[in-house]
Amino acid sequence: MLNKKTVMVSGVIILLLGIVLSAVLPEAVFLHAAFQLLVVAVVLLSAYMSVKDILIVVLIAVSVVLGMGFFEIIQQVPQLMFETGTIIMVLLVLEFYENGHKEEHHRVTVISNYKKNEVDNLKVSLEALNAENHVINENIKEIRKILG
Amino acid sequence: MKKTVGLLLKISVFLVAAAVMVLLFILPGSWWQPLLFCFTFAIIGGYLLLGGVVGTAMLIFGTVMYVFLFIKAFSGELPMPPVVAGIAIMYACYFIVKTIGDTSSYMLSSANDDLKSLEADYNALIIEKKNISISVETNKMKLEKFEKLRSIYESLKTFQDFSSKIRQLLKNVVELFHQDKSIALFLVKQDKIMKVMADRKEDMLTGERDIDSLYLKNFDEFILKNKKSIIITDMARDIRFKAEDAENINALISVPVFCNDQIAGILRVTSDKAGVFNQEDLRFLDIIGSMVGKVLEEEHYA
Repeated sequence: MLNKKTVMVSGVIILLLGIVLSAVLPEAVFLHAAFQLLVVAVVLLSAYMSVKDILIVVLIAVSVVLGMGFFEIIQQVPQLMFETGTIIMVLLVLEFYENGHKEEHHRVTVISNYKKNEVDNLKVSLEALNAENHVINENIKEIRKILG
Repeated sequence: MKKTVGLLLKISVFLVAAAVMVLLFILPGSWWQPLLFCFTFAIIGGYLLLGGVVGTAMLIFGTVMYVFLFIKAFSGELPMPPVVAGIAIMYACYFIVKTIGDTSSYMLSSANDDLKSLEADYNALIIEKKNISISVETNKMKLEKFEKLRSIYESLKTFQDFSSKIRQLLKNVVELFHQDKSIALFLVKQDKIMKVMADRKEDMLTGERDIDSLYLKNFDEFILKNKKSIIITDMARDIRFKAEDAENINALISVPVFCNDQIAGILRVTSDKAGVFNQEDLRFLDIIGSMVGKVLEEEHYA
């Protein structure tokens, strides 16, 4: 997996590119291809950002693009709303997946930590037992020496 | 609640795929590209919620739909750039999600492997602890016996004559063995044998000069001849030696007693129960034999 910085920077660049190109490219030729780039940005950002934060960013980006409708840069607003719905649905899936994965990972981590504690406690009690055994053996050796 | 949402999302993946296929033939051309954009949801949802196979199947299905759109674009019903961009976005999303999914699965399986390794360590430590606990308990019992033996040895200093010392030693030593047993010391000097006996039932000592009772058994002769200790855990199963029926000996341990590096006799512990002796008992008797040897040396027995 790419490092966090590259992924985040790529995500932000694609997001900004999507907004700028939506304003620049003629809608009649490119339709909403630039706006659809937002979904790539969303998926990229979801690797390291919480879905709630991405939702805020996406809503701002979508508002900007929808605002272009007032300046008649974008004509097909219903289609744009539909595509926005798709992006939000993707976010929902990512949120659900992230939650499920986090829960599972948390469960395994909790059990691991518990087991680590148990292992550490066992090691301590083993050391104590070994020390006790050593003392007993030393005492036996001493008596054996006396007894010849 | 979570399960319901999850189930709804999973169902919606298939519903969206089916709806897109149907709506593509119903809605006008201006909706075709937004409709196929929906496939991104079906691919991501399929991959993350239903597994890689469903995600890949959705990708193939989406590609087929885009081929249909390509045909429309070639016929001039749709501009080409958004179709190319649409399929590129769809594939880009698939590969990014695949990387995310694979990384998450790797992290989870790695955490599970660590957990399994910890569980294996834990189980190994539990067994080790059990073994050491048994060892500690055994050694405690051993130490207790050795401490008793030391106190017996130290108490010998209070006795003046040889027979009192041997009496004190044998009478107390037999108590260190847990079951009903008797201990006998045979002293051999110039082919004459003296037997000293003690048992737990009667706290008494018998010095025998009765010739009949002084015959050495075959195992006694073996020790005198070979100067080696023997252990017989079950007389009935032993192929080397046999006890006479009247003696009621079913198990025994016996060690040679040395005085000034010369064999001076044998020390033998017997029991009417089979399987009551082990190697540890034999080693213990060996130490008692050394003590008897010391007493003999102190008393200038040789």
